[in-house]
Amino acid sequence: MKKINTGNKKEHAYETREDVGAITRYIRRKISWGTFRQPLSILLMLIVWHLLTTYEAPLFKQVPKPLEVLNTAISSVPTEAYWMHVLYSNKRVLSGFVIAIATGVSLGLLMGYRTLFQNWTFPCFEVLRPIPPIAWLPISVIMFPTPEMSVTYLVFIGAFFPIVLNTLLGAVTVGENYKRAAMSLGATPKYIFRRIILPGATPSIFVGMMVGAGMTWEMVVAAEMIAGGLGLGYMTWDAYVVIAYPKIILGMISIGICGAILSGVVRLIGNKIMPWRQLF
Amino acid sequence: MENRAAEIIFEEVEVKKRKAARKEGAKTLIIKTLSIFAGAICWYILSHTIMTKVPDPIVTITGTIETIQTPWFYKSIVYSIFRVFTGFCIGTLIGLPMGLLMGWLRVFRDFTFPVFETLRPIPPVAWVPLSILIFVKLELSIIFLPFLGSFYAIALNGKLGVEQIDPSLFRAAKCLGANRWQVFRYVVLPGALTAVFMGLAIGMGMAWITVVAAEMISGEYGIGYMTWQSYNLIRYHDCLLAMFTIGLLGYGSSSIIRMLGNKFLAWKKVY
Amino acid sequence: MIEKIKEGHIVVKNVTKVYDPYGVNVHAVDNCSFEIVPGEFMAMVGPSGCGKTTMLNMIAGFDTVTEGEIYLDGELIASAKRKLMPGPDRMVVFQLGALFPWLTVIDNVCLGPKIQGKFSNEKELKEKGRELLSVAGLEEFENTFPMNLSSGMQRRVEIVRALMTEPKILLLDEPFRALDAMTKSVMHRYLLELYDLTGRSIMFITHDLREAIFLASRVFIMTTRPGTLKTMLKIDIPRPRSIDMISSKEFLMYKQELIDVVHEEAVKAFERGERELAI
Repeated sequence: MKKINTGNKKEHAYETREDVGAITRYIRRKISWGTFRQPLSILLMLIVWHLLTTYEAPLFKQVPKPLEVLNTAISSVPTEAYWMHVLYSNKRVLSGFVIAIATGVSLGLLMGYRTLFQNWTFPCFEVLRPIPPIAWLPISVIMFPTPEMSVTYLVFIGAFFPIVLNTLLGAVTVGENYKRAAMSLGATPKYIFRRIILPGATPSIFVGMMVGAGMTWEMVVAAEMIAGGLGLGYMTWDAYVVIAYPKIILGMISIGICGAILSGVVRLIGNKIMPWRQLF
Repeated sequence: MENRAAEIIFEEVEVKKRKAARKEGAKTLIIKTLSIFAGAICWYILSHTIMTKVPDPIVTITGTIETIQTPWFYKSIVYSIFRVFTGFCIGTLIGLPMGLLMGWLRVFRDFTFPVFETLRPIPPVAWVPLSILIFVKLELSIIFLPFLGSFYAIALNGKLGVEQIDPSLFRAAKCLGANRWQVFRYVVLPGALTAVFMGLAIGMGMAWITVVAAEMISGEYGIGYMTWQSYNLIRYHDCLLAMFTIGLLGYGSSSIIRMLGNKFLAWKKVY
Repeated sequence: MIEKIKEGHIVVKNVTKVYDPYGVNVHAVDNCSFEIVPGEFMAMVGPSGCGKTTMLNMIAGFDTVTEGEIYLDGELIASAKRKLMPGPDRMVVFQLGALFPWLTVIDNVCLGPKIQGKFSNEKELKEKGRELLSVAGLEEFENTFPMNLSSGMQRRVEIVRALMTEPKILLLDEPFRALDAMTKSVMHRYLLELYDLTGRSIMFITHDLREAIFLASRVFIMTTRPGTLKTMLKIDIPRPRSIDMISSKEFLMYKQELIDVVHEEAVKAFERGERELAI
């Protein structure tokens, strides 16, 4: 059957002449106008940034230029001090996050499984939930003896509520049909919990963990900016105070990368545990 | 005769069922109220044993009654509400059209989404120093934060909302002779409305969270600032009052949005 | 109602399968030509995946034509070089329904002319809508939302909506596939009533052979992929048709003929399907 060349790149490689090699077909399939647009947009953003700062547009007088940021990055990133900051922030994030996962998932599952327990705990939970985690900061300082514990508590509070909520949602909305099928196959309630409710709730749990992961970094940065010490948040704020502005952007980018890595790791683990489902 | 007997029995069963349901409901309500008291008791115990610096419920309530009568309290609330409201409105004005377009037009998405996704991992709080550099005036630099917080939520939900519209609806609209603007008005906008309202509610929540951070770090006035100040003045019960006030305001504003959403989405079976 | 659709040569049409993108050409339709006479009710049958829906999509303007041309009333509406142009002159009724869930029945039905700006008076438009809805038996549901209607009722509303735009040809893509048998027979009655009332050309895709014979004046049979026209069967049963015709001798004769032809193709398709899985 004759294959027809439409000359239209948009339709990928499905209409190429028979005599054109497989390599060309592969290339034409991979590259289309769309693929170029995406890196182009990021390049455009950098160019706009450069222009706005070099020509001192109204709001951008004090904003550091991209090249300045690059220079600062090249000089700061290899230093020990920078990686100490990174380590500190990550340590705080991880400790709070892990505690939040352990307590949050257990609480969520328990609330979903036993309505009585839910009735006892949910009201207090709902009263505390609307309070923005950052608002806990001054109280957390007086609640705990050491500042480190306060920061861990803040990170915990940030991640705790989304995790519990999503776990609860997952446990409650596991399809009724699945439970019924298991019961008609003769399963005990414990088995149903372990093999039906738990895997059924896992996608929601991981969604909650990803939301929580975002909140943890927000908390750590806020706490470090206010309370000081070590850490990427402190580094960013300090750069502002000592008028080393390019380092602010470096700090922001570093925080962003660390946050993305944490979310990415959660997503990776999620995909591994749940081969039957893709997380985004 | 038989029919009448069956009817009477049926009515009795119905009445019994309703009574049982009401009793269940009452029982749940009692437990829920008791749980709040239990929570307060835990708080009391904690504040008198491990965490002695934390004020106990009674001190908090008496302090609250005193503080509510000061104008300073209300001034702080007004400042925060103003900042949240402005930031949220700007966030919606920019974020909503952007999100809808990102979901609808592939070209637009290819150009804007990479930048959007690259900047998204940076928590709004991290923007505070940069925000102060850009918007030298204090108020604007604080308003920038609720703008950021709400912008991402609204844009993302707008995009998701458009993406979940049944593609046949687009085809049907084209068959009916709609041009681009009409497709937007009759398909994209109503189709994405559920997700848009959810994004607005989430965005409002994010706006409150971020405004508190900004006020604590760099502000004057505002409830976040009041929280920090109360700590400095060792009026810890005011810290707690401020916390609960913010929570209430945030929850209240999200609920208003959700109610508006339910009104507009009467055509759907919404909870 | 003067329309003529002439199919030229449609040589190859490559359809993209997302789960098999390794440069494999998938020919959905191959060198298919046929003609639909003005005001005719035409049915198209064939085994699954033989390209019937693709054919309809090309006529409607949702898919590009790789080779060949499609004319409507002597006017070129689709060819290899043309952009996609769906339009109200070729209105489609979709398989799973595409009523706008956020509009009431009457709003859905009046949407077409409203979008095209072809009406002078909104009241008149609504009156016309009510008229057609009453033929379909739905006049009391004009202010309900589609979500509260059964699928049979939804499908009827969609057909009314399609007719409101006064299309030159009505394209129906297996519209009654998801309905149960009893609802289907009711739908057939309504469709035939509306056809007798308005007399528009209809292209009806289905794989229910009884449905095809009952509704259509001519039945076109497609081969398996790559699809092309195998044969055409003329149904000489007079209109208006009624349900008792189903047991008549002529009906059974047509049905047998159709079964024989389609079965051949269906077996081929089945075997081909198996071979593909084996790879």
